[in-house]
Amino acid sequence: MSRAAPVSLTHLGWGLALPVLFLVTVGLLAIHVTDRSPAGAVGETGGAADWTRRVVEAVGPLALKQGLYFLAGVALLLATLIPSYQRIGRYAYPAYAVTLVLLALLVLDQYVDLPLIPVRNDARRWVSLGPLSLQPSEFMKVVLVLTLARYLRFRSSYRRWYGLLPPFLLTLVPMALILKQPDLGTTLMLLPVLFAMLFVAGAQLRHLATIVLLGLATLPLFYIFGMKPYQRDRVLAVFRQDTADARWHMGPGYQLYQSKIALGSGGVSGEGYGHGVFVQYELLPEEHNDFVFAIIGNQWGLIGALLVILAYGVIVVVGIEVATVTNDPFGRLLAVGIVAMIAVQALLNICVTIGLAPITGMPLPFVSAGGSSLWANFIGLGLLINVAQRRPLLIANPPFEHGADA
Amino acid sequence: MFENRLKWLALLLAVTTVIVGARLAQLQIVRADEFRELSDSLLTRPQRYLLPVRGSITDREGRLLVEDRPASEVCVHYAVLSGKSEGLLRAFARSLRRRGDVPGDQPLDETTSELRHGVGQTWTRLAELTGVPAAELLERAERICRRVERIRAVLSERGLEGPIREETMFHALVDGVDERTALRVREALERYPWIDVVPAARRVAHDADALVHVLGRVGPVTAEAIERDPLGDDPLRGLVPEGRCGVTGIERTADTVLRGARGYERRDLRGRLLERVEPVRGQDVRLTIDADLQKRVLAILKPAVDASAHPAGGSAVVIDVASGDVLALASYPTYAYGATAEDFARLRSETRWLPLRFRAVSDAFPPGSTCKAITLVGGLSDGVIRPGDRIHCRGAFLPGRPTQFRCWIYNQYGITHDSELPEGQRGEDAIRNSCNIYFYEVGRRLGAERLCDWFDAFGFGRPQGTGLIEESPGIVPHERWLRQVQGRGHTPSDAWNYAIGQGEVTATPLQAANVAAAVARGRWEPVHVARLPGGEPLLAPAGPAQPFDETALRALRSGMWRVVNERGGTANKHAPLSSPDYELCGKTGSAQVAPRVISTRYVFEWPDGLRETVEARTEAEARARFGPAHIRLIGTRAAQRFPVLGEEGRLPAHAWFIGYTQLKATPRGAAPRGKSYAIAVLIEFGGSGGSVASPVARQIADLLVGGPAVGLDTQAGVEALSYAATEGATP
Repeated sequence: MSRAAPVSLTHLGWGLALPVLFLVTVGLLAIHVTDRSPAGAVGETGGAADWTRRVVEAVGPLALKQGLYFLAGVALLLATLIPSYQRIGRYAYPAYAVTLVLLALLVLDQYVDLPLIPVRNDARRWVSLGPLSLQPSEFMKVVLVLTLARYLRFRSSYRRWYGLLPPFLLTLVPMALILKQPDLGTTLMLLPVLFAMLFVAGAQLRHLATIVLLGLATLPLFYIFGMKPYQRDRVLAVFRQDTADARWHMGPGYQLYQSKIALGSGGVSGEGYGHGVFVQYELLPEEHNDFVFAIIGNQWGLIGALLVILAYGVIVVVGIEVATVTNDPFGRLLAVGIVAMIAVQALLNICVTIGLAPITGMPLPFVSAGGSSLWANFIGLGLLINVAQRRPLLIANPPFEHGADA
Repeated sequence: MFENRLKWLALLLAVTTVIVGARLAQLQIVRADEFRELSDSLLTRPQRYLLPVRGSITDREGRLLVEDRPASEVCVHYAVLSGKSEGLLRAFARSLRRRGDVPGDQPLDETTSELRHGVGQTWTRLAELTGVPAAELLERAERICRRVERIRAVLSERGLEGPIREETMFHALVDGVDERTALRVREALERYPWIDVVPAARRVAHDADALVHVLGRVGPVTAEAIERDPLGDDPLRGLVPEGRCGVTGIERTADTVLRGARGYERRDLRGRLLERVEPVRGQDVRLTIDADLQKRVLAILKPAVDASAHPAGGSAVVIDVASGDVLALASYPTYAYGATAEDFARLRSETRWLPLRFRAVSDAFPPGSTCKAITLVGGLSDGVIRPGDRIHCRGAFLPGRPTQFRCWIYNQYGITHDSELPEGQRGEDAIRNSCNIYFYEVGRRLGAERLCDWFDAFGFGRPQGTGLIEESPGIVPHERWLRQVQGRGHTPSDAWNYAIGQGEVTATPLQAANVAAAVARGRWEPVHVARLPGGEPLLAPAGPAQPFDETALRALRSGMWRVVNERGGTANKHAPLSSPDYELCGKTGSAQVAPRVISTRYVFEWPDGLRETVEARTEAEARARFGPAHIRLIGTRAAQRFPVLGEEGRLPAHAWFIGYTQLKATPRGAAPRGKSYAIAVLIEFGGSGGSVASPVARQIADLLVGGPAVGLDTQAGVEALSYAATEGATP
């Protein structure tokens, strides 16, 4: 047992906490305003006390659920802060193994019917535990960052060709499993995280560039042989988004078309909170999840959209600053990985919403409805703050204690 | 190096962010107007259907019989109808608050409970405003719920789960509401969002009571109606659950013609019209029936039925021989068009008079001696007997058995036809005399199966082409039918019985009239009851035309002439026309039938196994005595019959007459000249065809050929159409 970690509430890293609070609030408001669930669904259960019913009614069941997820997320974050991140790092490989097994079980369920694994929208992404459904793939994001940081921290082998193999294997195995769920979005965001970590860790640029070029070269093959028809339609939807063909917009292009109408009709200042047709009618599929950014742009306009992007910007800047100031290699890689994870998710999600990337099914971190994504991101945030909090210790290391582990 | 790379990473993210920002600016500033326009106009309200006007039905002369009149429907949301309104009320309360119709600080619960109170008042308020009793409204609500449940059951059988559209819809509770009432309901119930007053149409009849059976009824669309709808795939012409369709009569037969096509309207969310397709009015349908003649025929029929020995109803059919058009299709008693549900309950319990029965086409009876016309044509055409062959009538058919298979004249007067014609009768004599013995013999020679083939040839056993669902095919007792239904083959006596129209063979008055038309025309043809606006008849499958042997017909026609116009013919006393130019040819019949069951003993079982017997006219009536108790019907037994059998136990008989008119100048046995109308008359339990049915046919024929006025005030006649049934009249 090492000494008690010096958790300081005044030292939570407000540069990270404030933008995240902002994002969560915006998300809750956007979820609340588009919550059209029938009030009776909750109201007629009968047993509930009067005031709870009123609260549920005023907040709306979806926003209420998301609020509860948020509170649980904060608890997770605080729990992540108590042990030092290095201590947590020691459990990186076991955590990786457990998550990998869960992912493998989800794939196995396609062939053998396992308990606790529901099929929704033809996908097996969830492990159902009573009222809670967890998505192992969401947790894989943060576990992979931990594992890669752990693997790469004292090595330099990745500066050679063969040395790139282990980190790639660590990433490609879960990618393959997640692709089988199928969940293209999560699959694709793992690679940029790996590249970002290898890049800052100092891998040879020509190696990375070669891999990227090779990957790009295989994309047409992947498009033709690796994709299902609906996925090809989604790629096409990006290139055909300005067609005048109304049938395309009513068919495969519908989601993007509606998303752009929501954003565009928001204008600079937005429709105003609680106003507009997108609030009144369910015109945008996945309006609480993958397309919540379009609702934000619709309600608060360009100003609101840019503020959200700014919040991510603050997180990235603070994260990079944490990575710069920390001189512990594990902490550094961890911070970079988490920053990359959050930034890649946010950028991919927003690019999908504004028609710069094909629809992949990627939540907007801290904003979209859903527990697993929120908790995974909060764990990541906790690790980042953890790194940030411990930095005075490292900086205060007396110069004569070279090599001493803190 | 690490910091350098970190900077590059930050730069990469920054560049991407700038691209994203630029794209956002493009969407939200540069193209904002374009998207605003799209969000206003392309996001449309779901389309609203515009109801078409249903086509009118006129009579042969173009007299308007039924038409659609604009009216309103008071509709109530299904959640309120079914009593599962809690969720709906909450949604309403929310939308009231969102619209600012209730003070914002009023808690949702309070608004909801106010609405709940309003739901409680709905029925009494609606009853007050529309004049429909609240109990009736509740009963209608229950009917709607049952209908929706059935639709749901049908859909879930096809594997469609979850709430169906009908459960989130407004359903018409009171229809045919006039403008003033509609306005009052709208004003008074404005605060009740579960009530909707929508424009609709009302079916209005003009002096159509005499045609109530023919016209039929328009009613709400049922799941079964949708299933059999031939236009089901047409989005604008196919039936929809909230619509109306023809349920019976011509309204049903010609439904696809009458219904027209819905229009629709799409508006954007600000209420601006985007697209409007006008509804297409349904086509009119013209009956071949002459409404005025129909009334006069009923006015003739009514006194004849009421004056008969055991009055219980009757029917008369007139067909224009040349065109096959049905000119009158009268069933007596009739009832008032637009009868209410209560009326129907009462009408159903009239088990002696059966006023709801479209008896002219739906009731098949043994044709009795009128069938001898077919037997004669069959025997002569198949060569089992020649026109000049004579057969002796000795009172009974079988030499050793004087009590069985007797001639009617021997039964009634103890004499034989041989006493008048000692040399025996030819075919036309036998028709004139309606001699049973002659036709027993022809039947014996033909055999039952061949006789049945001849019934087929004359259109028995199948619909006559009206397309009316009420039309009964009747029975032609072929060998295979007998085996199927009775598990036996033909016996020799079957052929004898069928030859005189007794036994299993049955025909409707319409079929009987068409036999007369076929005899006059020389060819059997389907009949028409309605024509489209272009004049082409509304066709329904009825089999091909069937020509007959002219030699056989000549013998039959001269026999039928002699029935009416020669001294001693079975209809000579009552049927010769008063017209100076026209004459009637025909054949009488008295068909023995079982008395009608007019009340039944229903044996019910209580859940505890106790049994209870109740005598009532209908099952509904019997069940009504137990209230809503869960009892099971386990058996029935006839309790009372009409007419009551006499001492000697002889069966009652229906009085028949079939015939056709012709100019007096028509040579004997030739096809009729001049206007030829085929007529069939049936007086139920009337007894003798000659004395009871033929006078009715004579009056109708005189009317048709313009003989001296029969002294009928048709108007008075029709008003008095309500039949003589009174409480005391039931024996």
